[in-house]
Amino acid sequence: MKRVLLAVIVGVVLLSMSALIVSGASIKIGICQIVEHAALDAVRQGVIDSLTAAGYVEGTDVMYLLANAQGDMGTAVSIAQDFKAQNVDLVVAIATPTAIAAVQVFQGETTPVVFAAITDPVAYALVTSATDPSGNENVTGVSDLIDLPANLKLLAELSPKIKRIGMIYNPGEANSEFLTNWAVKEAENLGLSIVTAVADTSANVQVAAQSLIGRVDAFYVTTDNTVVSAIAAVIGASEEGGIPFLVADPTSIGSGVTLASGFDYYENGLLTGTVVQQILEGTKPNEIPVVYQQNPQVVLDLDAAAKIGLTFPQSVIDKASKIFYGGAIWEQAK
Amino acid sequence: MLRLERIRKAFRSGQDIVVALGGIDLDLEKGDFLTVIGSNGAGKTTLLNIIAGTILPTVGRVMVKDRDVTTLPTHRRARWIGRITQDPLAGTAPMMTIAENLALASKRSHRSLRLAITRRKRREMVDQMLSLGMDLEHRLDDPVSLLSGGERQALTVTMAMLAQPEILLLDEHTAALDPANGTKVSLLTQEFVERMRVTTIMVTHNMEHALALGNRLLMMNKGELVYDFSGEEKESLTVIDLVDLFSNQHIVDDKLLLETR
Amino acid sequence: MALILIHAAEQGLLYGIAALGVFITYRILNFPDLTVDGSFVTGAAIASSLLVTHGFDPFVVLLIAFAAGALAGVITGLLNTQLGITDLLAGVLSMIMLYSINLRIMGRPNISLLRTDTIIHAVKGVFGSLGNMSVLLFVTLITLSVMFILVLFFKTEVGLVLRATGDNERMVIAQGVNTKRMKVAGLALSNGLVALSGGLVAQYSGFADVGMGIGTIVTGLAAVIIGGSLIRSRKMVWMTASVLIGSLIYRTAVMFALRYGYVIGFQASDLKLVTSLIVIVALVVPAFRERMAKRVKTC
Repeated sequence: MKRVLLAVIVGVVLLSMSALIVSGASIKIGICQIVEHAALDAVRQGVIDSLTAAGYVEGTDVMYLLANAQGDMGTAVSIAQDFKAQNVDLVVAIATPTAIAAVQVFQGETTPVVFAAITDPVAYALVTSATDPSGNENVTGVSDLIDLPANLKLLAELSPKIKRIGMIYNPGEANSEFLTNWAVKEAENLGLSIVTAVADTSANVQVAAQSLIGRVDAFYVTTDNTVVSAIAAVIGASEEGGIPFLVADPTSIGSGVTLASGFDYYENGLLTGTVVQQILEGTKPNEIPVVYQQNPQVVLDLDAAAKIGLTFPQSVIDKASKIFYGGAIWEQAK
Repeated sequence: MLRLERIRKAFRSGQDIVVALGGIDLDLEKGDFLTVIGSNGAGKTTLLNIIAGTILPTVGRVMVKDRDVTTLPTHRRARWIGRITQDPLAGTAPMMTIAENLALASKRSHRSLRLAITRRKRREMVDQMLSLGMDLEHRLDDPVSLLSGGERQALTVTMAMLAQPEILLLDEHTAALDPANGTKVSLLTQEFVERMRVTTIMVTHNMEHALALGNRLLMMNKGELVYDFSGEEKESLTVIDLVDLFSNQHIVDDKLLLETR
Repeated sequence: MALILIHAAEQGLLYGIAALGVFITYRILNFPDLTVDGSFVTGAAIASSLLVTHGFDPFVVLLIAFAAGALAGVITGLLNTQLGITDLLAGVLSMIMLYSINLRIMGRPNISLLRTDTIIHAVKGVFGSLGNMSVLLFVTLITLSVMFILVLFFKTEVGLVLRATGDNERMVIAQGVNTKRMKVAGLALSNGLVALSGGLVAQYSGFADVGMGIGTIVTGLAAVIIGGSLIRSRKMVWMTASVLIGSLIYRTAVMFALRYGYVIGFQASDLKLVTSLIVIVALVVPAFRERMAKRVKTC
């Protein structure tokens, strides 16, 4: 008799607990990323902050399911399937592999999928068109496509001696191949040449960077996750060879890169957050064209430049929004 | 049927050279049953290995039906040559059933995508197992690993027979069995060799067997053929004669003496 | 809750085909074959690139994927039988070579199949009315077909010889079989199945990625071993079924670990460690049991 009573009590408690989880008008948003990485984490934070600032309070108005595929594609699929099983109201997928998995799993569903930090969404068929969203069904998002021509022009501006630009990248990474090919074409237009070195793992970045010493006048690294995670190796090669180093990730300034020009990932997250808001307020994903970040910021490291004997021309200094000097960041006075 | 011409085999171990066989000539007719005795190290197994193809001779030729097979790989010689070794576990596939083992053995040439065990084949297998008298006809679907050593060796002999070899090499194939099973397997072999007129070479340590079976007896010592008896000469030999001959060769081998009562 | 099981079942069966491939080399041929980490991707790579760039029929690309995987297996087999390179090393060499070859096939590190007509679209078109179950039904049909064809194959003369080659090679040689050729054939069949699985998984997931094969040998072994410890029968039908069951169990465990593992701090990256531990335990338990049984006897 006692056992039956106990069972009944436990059952009731469990049922009511599950009711708590299920009920409530709170919106469920699944946020997934492919790896744990400062840039991707910043995107995630940007999304959440943007929504919080717009009045969606976590816990009461909205619930976030956070997931990390730890670099494994199969896991990315399982995560998306899990979101589906948990009936999320919206999915935010950060980075290409996760986005592909999410779009595949939610294909034909009404659940909106918003991608973030994707360089070329059309190439990966996430959307059929970046400008005309009508055929994109339940998918839209924010691209982190860098302004590559501007980067190359900036490098060329540093000194007339800069003709050969060395690019280190991981051919196994989705967007890097595309960016490198674009760079080669763009460089031709600018009268520059690109010398490439591949690193298929972060351990091989050092060898790749050192192989370019003496063969290039500048280093250029884009948003390649593998190389960025081993950026110290490229900085080492830059100092050793006296080679100016531009990276498309402004947050890495201060670590030894000579200069950086690009978009902020946190900002990418904020933009994604606004897209999510639009959808939550009623706009359909196929009414929102892909959002591209604008206005890259330029940041210079005077200490690093001094180490390799480089003086920034005034025109370049004028473009900078921040300067790293004497171990601290200085904002450009208006 | 089988001819060995000037077979020599030397093994090199570092700086030393060991001569396992020092110039063997042998001629066997179809239907000959040759028993071979000798102490350990006499070269008996090496001889069988060279005939079967597991080892290549240093010098000499092996001819089967006037065809030079000296360098033919083992699996190509298997068409004519069957072999049963001392290890009762070596001749059957343990994870597969009796029926599957029999099916494997009965195919001598090109294997196809046909079903291996048809209903007719199964009936044949039941008959084959019945004739063994070991109650195996009820266990056709048992994995062979469940069988005893004696049963497995009997199965091996049946399988060798199914392949219809022209030459059969027996390397002390009853030595590792208990007396009852050993006798069974020995009788089974005899019956099949006689019925199918298989040219047989049997290596044995048992002098009584060596005398009782076959029409020819070879004694080997240190890689040489020292005595070759056939016909009436062989029939008139006794065990004591053999022991004497061994002593003449200064071989004192406990195993030889103990094997023979 | 049901949906999570449906997904686990789909993945369990699709990856189960690769596990059947691992079963053939590891259990039947006694040849630990690491080629599979590469051939899985080869199947995915060929299927995807043919679908996207040339618009092939989704079923036809699966057959081509199988053929490509078989070719990979042949390479490993030749390295081993003709050049005398040991089984493990031969497999590793093939796997590494395939990394470059796969990149060449795809032309880029990953291919998206999102707006291409894959087999999944075809299935939804035919079985659409079943909703969530449609893909599962299709996957079950395909996997069971593969399994039964395999069981039938192992009942043929060639199939029997293949099994015997792994069971008692010397006996088979003495029966006139060229075992070198048999090993190559076995590796071809095995890797063909693995590549077929890769081609299916790519169409199921919506992408092919050059790194998606990493760990195939371990997850395949996990399935073979989990299944083998549950079902002891030596009959082919049961042995192959046990591999699929093992794969289902493994994938279900993975799904639950991902969903609820955070409670104990479990992360997706821990998966490979846990899988290897499962394989180690399952390998050691039978040997351990034997030793315990012997001890009791001597008491």
